[in-house]
Amino acid sequence: MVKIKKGMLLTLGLMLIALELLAFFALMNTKNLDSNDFFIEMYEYNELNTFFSVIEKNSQEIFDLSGMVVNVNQNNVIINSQVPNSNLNYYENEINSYYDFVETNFEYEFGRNNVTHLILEPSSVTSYVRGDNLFIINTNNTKIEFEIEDNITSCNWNTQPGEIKIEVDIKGQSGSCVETKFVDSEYLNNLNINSGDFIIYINESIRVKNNINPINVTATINKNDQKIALGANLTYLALNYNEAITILK
Amino acid sequence: MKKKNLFLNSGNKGMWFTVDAIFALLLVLVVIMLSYNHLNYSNMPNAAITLDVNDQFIVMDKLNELDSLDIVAIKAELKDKYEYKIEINCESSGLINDSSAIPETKFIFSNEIPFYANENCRLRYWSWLK
Repeated sequence: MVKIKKGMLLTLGLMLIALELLAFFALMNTKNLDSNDFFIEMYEYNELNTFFSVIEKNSQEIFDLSGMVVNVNQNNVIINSQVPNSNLNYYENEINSYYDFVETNFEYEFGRNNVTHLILEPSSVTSYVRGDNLFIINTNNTKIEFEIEDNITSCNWNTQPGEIKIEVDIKGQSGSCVETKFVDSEYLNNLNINSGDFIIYINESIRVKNNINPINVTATINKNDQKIALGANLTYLALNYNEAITILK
Repeated sequence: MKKKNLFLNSGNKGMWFTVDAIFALLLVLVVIMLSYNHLNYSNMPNAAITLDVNDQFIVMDKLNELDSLDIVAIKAELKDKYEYKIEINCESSGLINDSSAIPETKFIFSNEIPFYANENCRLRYWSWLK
């Protein structure tokens, strides 16, 4: 009887020890699997981060071919471009070729409508050059600056008062056209310089039309904590303004 | 006659056996716990390579150091603590390869990135600890 009880205690003790060990190894195994999952997740995140970093940098490098320059400061985004811009076709070909290359070799699909458009988010203020025109869409506070090779002989405003702020600073060899106006967005306001050599149309958007030689136009767009993106759907290129200084400049 | 202890019919042998087993178990657990960190973080050196090597190529791309398409020059800029094999494949310049052999017994990290050097290129790299 005593021997039987001894044996039972021994078996019971061994079973408890075995169960404890089993539970401990199960716990360790789970933790080890978690550690492997963490490694895999980190690896994948790092791979994606690397991919998008180089895409961003390469896109910026190709964007430089457009001859457009983007500067960002605390209050404004400053876009400078020739109007008309003879580099745009080359830039567009190169960036589309690059995106084709990446899509073919890296199984990634770009949303690449309007690769020539610079877009501020979330306001969707969009700036682009097409032909003899510089467009700034959905803006309500913009400064337009350029300098022409001739004299400024006339500077005629045709506006209705309203809420949209437009500031112009146009200089000629002699004379200038410097003024700030608040105009009505429902009315197609315009500024006619030198009897139609340059016309700036203003409503919810601004269109700077150049009817003579190419000019270098600077548009200063007021911003409120927005992001800047290249192309309508390239959301991964959206940068905050501090980053934009290093990436897009 | 031997006095019975703790009202156990089996005497105190079972108790000492249990105490002994518990001490043995504790010893085993301590050894396992001590080795646990090593087991748990055994992937960390590999993780360090992935982060470190990718970062190096991101920086080199930002500095346009890949644009030379010169594998020797590119490798000269990389950290010494790893070995590398690099392959560049460009649309116009074609395939540029280096002859480094990839070891079979080590953890090999590899990745591929696109880059622009006035033509569309892709860079593939393999890296391992020295």
